[in-house]
Amino acid sequence: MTHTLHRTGTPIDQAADYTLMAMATKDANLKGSREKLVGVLRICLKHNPINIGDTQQGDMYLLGSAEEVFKRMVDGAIAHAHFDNKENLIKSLKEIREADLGMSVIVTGLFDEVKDCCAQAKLTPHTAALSLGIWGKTELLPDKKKLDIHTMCGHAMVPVALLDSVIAKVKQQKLTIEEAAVELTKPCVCGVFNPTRAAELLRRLL
Amino acid sequence: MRIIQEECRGCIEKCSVYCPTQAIIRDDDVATIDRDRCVECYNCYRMPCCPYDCFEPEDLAWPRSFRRAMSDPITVDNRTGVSGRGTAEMKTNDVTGRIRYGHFGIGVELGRPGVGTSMRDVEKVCIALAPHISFEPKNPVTYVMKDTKTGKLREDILGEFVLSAIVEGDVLIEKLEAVLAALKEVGGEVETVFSVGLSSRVYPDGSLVFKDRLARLGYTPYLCGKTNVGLAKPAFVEELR
Repeated sequence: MTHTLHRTGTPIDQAADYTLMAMATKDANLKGSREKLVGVLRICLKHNPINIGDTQQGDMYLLGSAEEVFKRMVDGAIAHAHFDNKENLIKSLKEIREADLGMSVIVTGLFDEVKDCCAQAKLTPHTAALSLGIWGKTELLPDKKKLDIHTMCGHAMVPVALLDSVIAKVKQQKLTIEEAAVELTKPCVCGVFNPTRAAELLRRLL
Repeated sequence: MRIIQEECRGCIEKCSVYCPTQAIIRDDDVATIDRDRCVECYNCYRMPCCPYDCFEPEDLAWPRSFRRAMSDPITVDNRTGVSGRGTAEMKTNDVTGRIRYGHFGIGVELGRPGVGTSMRDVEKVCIALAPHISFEPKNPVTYVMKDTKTGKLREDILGEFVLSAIVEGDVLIEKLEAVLAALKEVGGEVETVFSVGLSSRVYPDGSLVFKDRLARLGYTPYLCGKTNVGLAKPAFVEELR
């Protein structure tokens, strides 16, 4: 479930791409975790996330609203909020620290920028993961620009075929770029797909 | 997954684009599922892509049910309590203490991004890593391992094709070079891609156990990373010696 670690892209693009995730641990703090995980996401919701989701239920674009995501969450949910800027992430982290909800909170983004966010929120990073990229038969991969969009859903629920399909629809003027980005966002059930960044990347592909 | 062919009107362009493994194919005038390629991810069923509700989940018996466990992010592994690919890795390390000072965690995700993998290729990577790592016990790939000393998987699972599977373990930092060499070699032997992630406790000075060593070995990690900010309770306590 390293679903946000291996996102590809340029540093400039990734400077507008931060995932905050919260989860409980079986046999430790899972019982009663629903309210705490919803609590984390409600804090995030105050600071303009561009996506909200729970891996086990779906994201706000598929379910219709953040409230619908909250309603369906259960103990052991894997809660996500996605931000397109650092400032909103920092505000969320500060409030989550103050709320002291006891859930594991993980942030994915440019590593040094996240380090700075933690410092500003008075948090001490505990553990970190870095990606060494893609190995093996890399000739099977799509081109780099498409990969940058595809890897925003680490579970591969946004196939390249869907990407090609929405690009064709934009060219035929059946969808706007923003509508196409939303169509790509829906299958990513976790809510870690960034529609703002997807729209920008689609613009460059067209 | 199956398609109710009596109801299908053949508008395959609407549904097939949601299949990450191109398993929805045309059969005469209707759509059908290529069962070898289908990884049971349920994306076609979950998305409102069929105007006639033709997608119908099947009761999946073992070992085909393993496809869904490794492909549908919504499924929860009851042993670990984790959805996605069934393992928490470093994400709950502030509670579990899975990754300690002086060690690093490794996660090799076969089939990612978006290619899929046979379990035979997963086994190749397990065998390559077995001499160097301790496989994570709370991980769905380790659960289907016949022998954690050799990395061999159970025979009944080897014919399965999944969207991705994470081989995961704990490694002493002194073994970093050997692990990367083993991965490089096996990378030439598999018919798929794999994404490699390393995790570490963050030391008091902000450093990670492998970062300088990686640089000396000529590896440059992605700029994007994942940080557990240490807020969980009850916290796992480890003294740095």
